[in-house]
Amino acid sequence: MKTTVVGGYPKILEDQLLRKTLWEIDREGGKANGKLEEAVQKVTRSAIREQEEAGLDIVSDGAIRWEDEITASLRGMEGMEFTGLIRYFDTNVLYRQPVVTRPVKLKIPALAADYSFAVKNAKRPVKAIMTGPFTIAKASRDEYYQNGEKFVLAFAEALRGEREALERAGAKKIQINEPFLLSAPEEFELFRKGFRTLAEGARAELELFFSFGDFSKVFPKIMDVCVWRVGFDLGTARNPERILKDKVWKGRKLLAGVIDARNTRLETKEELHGRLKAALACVASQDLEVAPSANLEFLPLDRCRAKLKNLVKLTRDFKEVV
Amino acid sequence: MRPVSECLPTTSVGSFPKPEELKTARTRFTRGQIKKDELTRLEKKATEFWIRKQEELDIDLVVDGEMYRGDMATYFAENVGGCEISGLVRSYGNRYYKKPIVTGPLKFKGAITVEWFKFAQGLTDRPVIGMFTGPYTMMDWSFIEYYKTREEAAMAWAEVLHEEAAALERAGAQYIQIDEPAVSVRPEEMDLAVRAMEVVVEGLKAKTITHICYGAFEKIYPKVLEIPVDRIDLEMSNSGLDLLEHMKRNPFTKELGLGVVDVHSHKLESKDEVKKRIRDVMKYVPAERLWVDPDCGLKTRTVDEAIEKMRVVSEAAREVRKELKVKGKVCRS
Repeated sequence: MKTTVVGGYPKILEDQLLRKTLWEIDREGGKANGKLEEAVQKVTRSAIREQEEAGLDIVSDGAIRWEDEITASLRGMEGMEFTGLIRYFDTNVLYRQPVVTRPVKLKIPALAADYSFAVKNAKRPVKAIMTGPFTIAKASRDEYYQNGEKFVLAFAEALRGEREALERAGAKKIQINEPFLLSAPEEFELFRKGFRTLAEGARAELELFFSFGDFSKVFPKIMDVCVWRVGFDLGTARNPERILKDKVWKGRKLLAGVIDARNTRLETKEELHGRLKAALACVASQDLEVAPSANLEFLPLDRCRAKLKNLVKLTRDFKEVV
Repeated sequence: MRPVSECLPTTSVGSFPKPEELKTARTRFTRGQIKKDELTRLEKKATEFWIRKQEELDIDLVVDGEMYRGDMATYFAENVGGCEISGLVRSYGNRYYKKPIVTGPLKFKGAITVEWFKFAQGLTDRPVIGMFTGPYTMMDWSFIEYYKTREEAAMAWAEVLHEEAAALERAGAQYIQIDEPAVSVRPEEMDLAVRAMEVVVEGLKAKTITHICYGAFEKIYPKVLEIPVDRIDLEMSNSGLDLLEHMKRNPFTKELGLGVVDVHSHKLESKDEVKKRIRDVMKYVPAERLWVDPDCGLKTRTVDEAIEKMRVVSEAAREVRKELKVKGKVCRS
């Protein structure tokens, strides 16, 4: 059983260096790009160090460069403009909606460089994280394809390029977040086509992760789509115990969101051990990864640290008891 | 009190940027380098600056500019019982706020905004809006550790904020704005948002307004019209007026606060652009029910940008009013 994360880390490390640099750049009208890169790298190193010090087995780059969950995976693409601000699910995080006006194409893969930087600076294994094509399409507006399937597949092909670049950079694990599927489960077939396109020829272990909704809406059929690892937020899924009792998990791998990344209250030993026990009822210990339920940026830094330490400690205690 | 224009009156959503002098003072106050009195003096100076600017720009219904607030959720949580304030949490872009944590039963400890309302109103003969953040948004933008459900937390906030509304009305507020930017995040909770607002506005005689922004408005429309306020103020420019499609199908039955300039862009809209937005919306909501303002609070702009955005709001509304007069329509400004 391993501990990990499923998204970003608070960006205010290093005495708010990144925040201050971005203010400076905004004030100076977009100059000082060198300073930005320096700040991103310094804060990324710090985010990795904090995850390692918390004791996580698998870390991420902290998604320090990501402004939001939607536009971050589009940085290397062309074919779209970024327009009005939209709220991301029920959070108070806003993103600029991508509006596709031309064919979507991957110009230069953008995610691999951050992954490579993280690997160079990490002592523990690093996983790459990207947002999936269905979610990106649902969060965007189509003014070019005028066809839902073509729209999703265009993003899927471009993201396949990102995935391949990550694999060339050595990524063995790539987590793909698809939260919008839980808001539109009736479009499962479209999602399936998008994922299939993205996953074509994959060498890395692909992990599909679901949060911001009820995972039971797509379970168990989701298990046919992804042959690697499937994960979900146990806190927002309806009746997670029932999901975890299903025989379909036999021989499969699970990424379980067991710590609430959207509330400051620390989980008790009983709560967390109950979730671990439920998870281990369905998958073997070596096939289980446990993590917070979402991006850790939803928490203030001190609570984020406390929650990760709690996750690691209680998981270790559980292993000893078992 | 100076009357507002009879049609297309102009107003503001709430915040204005803090002048550099005040920003520095707030940092120094946090570090213990200046006393509260000195900070308050500068907050009052900045409030007066924005009241005068709004008068110069001929804005009908003015705001105090929120010079005393750090953030629209944190400020209220700091001043009620039952809340702690967390460390910084990013909201969007490069904006952060200290997210409240509800750790005990919420309690009204005394009026929060009334002294500022009275100060601002004392500076001008134009009506000033009394304003605070609504119960649904306070619930949604806090970490809830004490209450068992979101509903319990929202209704507890509603009780507390009703006291604030009543205190503002007693202090003379003719307009009370209850901001609910989070109201569209969970369409299935619209009934809760409506019930919470009912508690807040119960018994009020003042004109009530709610401001909603940056959400999936189409998912809560026309249900949102059930919120018991006189006016709903919407961010409409940011989304290219696409809400009109919905208003075409289901008439907008309340007064509409029409956001005509994007508050998250450095680009200044032209007067013609803004006039066109006003005219486009007038096809669906008559001018006598339309208030013209920016999409949202202008605090993310520079002082100069905010002034110029307000100028274009004011001038465009005035010119459209004149056009209406020429056509012999209702407008007397």
